[in-house]
Amino acid sequence: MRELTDDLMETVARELSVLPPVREEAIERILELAAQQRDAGPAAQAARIEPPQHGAWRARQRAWAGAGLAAALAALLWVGVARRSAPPEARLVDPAGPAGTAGEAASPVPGAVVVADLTAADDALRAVQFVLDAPGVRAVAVVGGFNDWDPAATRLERVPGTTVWTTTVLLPPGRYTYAFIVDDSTWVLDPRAPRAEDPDYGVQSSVLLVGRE
Amino acid sequence: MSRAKVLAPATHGAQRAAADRAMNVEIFGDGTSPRRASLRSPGGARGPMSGLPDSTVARAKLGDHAAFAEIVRHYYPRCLRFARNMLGDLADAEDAVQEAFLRVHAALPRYTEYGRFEAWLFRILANQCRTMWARERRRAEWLLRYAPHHAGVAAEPPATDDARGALLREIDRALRELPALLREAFLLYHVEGMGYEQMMMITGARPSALKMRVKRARDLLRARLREVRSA
Amino acid sequence: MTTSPFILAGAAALLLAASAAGQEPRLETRLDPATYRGVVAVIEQARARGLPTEPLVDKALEGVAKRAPGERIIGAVARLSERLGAARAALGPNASLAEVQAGAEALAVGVPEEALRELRATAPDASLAVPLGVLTQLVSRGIAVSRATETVLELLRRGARPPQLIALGQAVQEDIAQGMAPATALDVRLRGVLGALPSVSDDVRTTAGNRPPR
Repeated sequence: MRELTDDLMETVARELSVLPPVREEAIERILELAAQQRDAGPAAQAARIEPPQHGAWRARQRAWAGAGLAAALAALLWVGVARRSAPPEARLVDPAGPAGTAGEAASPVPGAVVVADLTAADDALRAVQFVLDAPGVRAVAVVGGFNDWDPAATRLERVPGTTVWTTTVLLPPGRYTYAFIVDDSTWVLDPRAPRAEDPDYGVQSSVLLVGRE
Repeated sequence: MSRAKVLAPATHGAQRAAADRAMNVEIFGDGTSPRRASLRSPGGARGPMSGLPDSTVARAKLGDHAAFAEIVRHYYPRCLRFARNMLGDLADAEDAVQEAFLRVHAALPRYTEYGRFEAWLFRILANQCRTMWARERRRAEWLLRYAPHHAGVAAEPPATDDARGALLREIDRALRELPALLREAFLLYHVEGMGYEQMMMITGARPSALKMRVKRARDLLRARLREVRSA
Repeated sequence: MTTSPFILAGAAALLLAASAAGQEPRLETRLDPATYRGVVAVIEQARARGLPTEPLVDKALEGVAKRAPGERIIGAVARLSERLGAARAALGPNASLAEVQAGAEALAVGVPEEALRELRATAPDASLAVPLGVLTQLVSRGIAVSRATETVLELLRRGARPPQLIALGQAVQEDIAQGMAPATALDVRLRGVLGALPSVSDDVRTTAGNRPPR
């Protein structure tokens, strides 16, 4: 084990050891968000952490018949579903059949979209806006290949005065599957996007194509 | 050991340094700064620095809100320092630390490694820093490519604290040039004063690999800083 | 898919169990130890074969988000690894990462390896990432594999470039979403694209992909 024996490294370590200024508001914010996590209900919190009994997520699925009317309808239906008294239990109702058999089931078209040519020379990032109209919910996040499927990584924010949640991320061109996670417990597909079947895990997701110029 | 007073006065220069040192003393109890402890012994982290009794973690695990708050206040300054040194930007560091604590909070009910809480916390924080760093790099590349008139600003990590001066900026820049894994190992060992066993719990890498990373980081930093100084 | 990946993964897991720690930090905090070891074993195998490992990490994390049991995650990652290997074998050793990944996705929806080889033979110098992606898209939307394959091959022979292929795929997808039968949609849109391409005699050598037009 080597010690820092030269002045230069000593100086470096000393400078880097100085603690940066701590904002009390930042700490308060953490505690406030933690309290929100907790208030989401022990069942919901447990559902977020422990695998549910049935081993799958519930998806709020709405048939996507196309365009605005369906989306508006979806929003209205969402209102009805979201106003619940008990915390949501995280279970998946797989439209293709019982969870675990997707892939073999005679499902409607699986959804894959084209991959833009991912030549190494072009790493251009495009701004992609995720939008979900979800009245009555406390938190919305988006998960997908672009953020390691991490519900903590990309949270949406509610546009004040509306029930619409949104965030914008920068993504290189390509095909991404994704879904929204609502209230840390419920897997929600994007009503506006094509769907992808999932022979591997039996959980549908939404598909996003990011193109080049 | 007194609880750390987390509010740092908004002073500059010498006053700030004095306040920081005072904070060091409060947190670490025995009057040593973390750097000195690390130079004396790599196992310094197991000493007074760790601090929190297992019972606090146990209480937090059972849902005791006040216990969780204690945990946050106890570790926040060091987490912030580590994240800031990893990312080069204080705002990003605050974000990373916030995310890490929230993930810890969410996973507490199933946390079982008593006595290793600090390693677990830093592991989660290190992961957040890695993710954030990768994202920031892509963003910087995008700016360079698509907003070249901003490139001069974007390419440079934002100066976070003028009071610490030119030296720190040099060090910061050199640190930024290290590959993330080397930077991480260097900071954990020489700044956070952790031992290789704890670092293994944090990074998952074997002590032999970690030792090499630390040494290589030192070599690269030394070379870069000497280059800068002689320029 | 056969069960051999599981056997291989299992054996490799035994060998690598001791050294799994730290190999994949992004997975280590999100998988239980047994699943982590299994997944790492598959990833290490893939890495040793020179296959891209990022799609494997992503597949595992997807499984975490979707609350799949550990065994299922290991299986999914193993199957993907097999597909990546098969795609690379079919597309040739110089295939780019994007091509190998697109090839694996095509295999996943039932496009045979033979089709990948044919594509490569038809356009040896072009990047097949986009053609494979469009092929996958067409099959996913309900067009028969043979029909879809023939279509893409024809387009490549005729010198269609990536933006044209992408446009075809998107248009067919939208038509089907509007209720058109998949085969009809393809017929209609194919006419449109072919009409815009130079006829075969104009350019003897296949120029699909990145080559600019004459």
